[in-house]
Amino acid sequence: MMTLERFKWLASSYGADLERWPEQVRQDARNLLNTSHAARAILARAQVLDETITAAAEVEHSQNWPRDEAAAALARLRSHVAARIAEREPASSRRRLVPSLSSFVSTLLNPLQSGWGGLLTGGVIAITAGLAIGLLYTSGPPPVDVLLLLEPAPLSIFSDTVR
Amino acid sequence: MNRSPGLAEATDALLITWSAGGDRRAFDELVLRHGPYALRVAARLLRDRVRAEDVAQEAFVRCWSQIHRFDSRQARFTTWLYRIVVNLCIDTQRRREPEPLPADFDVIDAGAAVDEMMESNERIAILARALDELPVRQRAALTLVYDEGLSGAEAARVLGSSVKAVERLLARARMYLRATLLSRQLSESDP
Repeated sequence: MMTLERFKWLASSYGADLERWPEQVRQDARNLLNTSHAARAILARAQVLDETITAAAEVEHSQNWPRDEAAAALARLRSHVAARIAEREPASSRRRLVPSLSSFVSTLLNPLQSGWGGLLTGGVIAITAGLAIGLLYTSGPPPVDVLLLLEPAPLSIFSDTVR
Repeated sequence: MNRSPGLAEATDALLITWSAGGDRRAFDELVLRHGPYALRVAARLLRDRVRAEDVAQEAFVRCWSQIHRFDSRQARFTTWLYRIVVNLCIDTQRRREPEPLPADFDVIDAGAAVDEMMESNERIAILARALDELPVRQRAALTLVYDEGLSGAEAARVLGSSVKAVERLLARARMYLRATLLSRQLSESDP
């Protein structure tokens, strides 16, 4: 059973539309409306304010967002959000990188399980790695110690005459 | 941007799962679906289109970065999004201007007298200005419940408060609007 005070409080919060009221009190409110003239008067006053609020909100909204502008704003929103999330590395892609690497390594380590494609991939990678290592050790100048070893050593019996 | 038929038919929950796996197109579908609401709520709370777009953009970027933590079985995506948007709006608004009314603001119930006193257009114009003057949390409660159709309980989840607190915000907002209608009409009718 709803009191008039409770009814008045709910009307002052949710207005005249009972569909906005908490579901569990709606039937009690309807019952009170059927029996109380005061409750009906409260709801009638709330109804007038509701209509004015709705109309004012519509005026405000149409001034803020004309129809075309709303569509353009949504397009800008999608574009900017897409650009910003593309800029940053999402946590999810970091999560996905780990399984991708482990799957790649497992393909290399277990070529039989992954078939001829795996063998071929493994072979190509092994050759590439070999070439890379070869280049690494041949392209730069050799270490100084190695050059000293390659020089002819002076014979000790001529060392005095040389000086 | 084109809309893929598969994405267009997917539920929010599915789009969230795909987005959590890094699918940006699935997330774009969520922006397309819920962007208009985010923009509208932000515009109503901030009364500024440019700032509303900034807030909506920031809200979706935050959603993207946290989406792997979101559980569709426990909450609706819209509630989560509204919450981020409303909180960003409240922060933005508080940085820019002081609240126009004290927290314990209270006025007499003007009753029915207001209703017969003004012409409809005049009332609407006065109320549109009065809506602008509401503190941002009251405006948020009014927007969520009256414009967006959320229940008191849903609005409470968005605002991070209790249902009672939402009811108080709504009641204060309505009392202020009603009192404003009455006082401005009286001042305009003074000789």
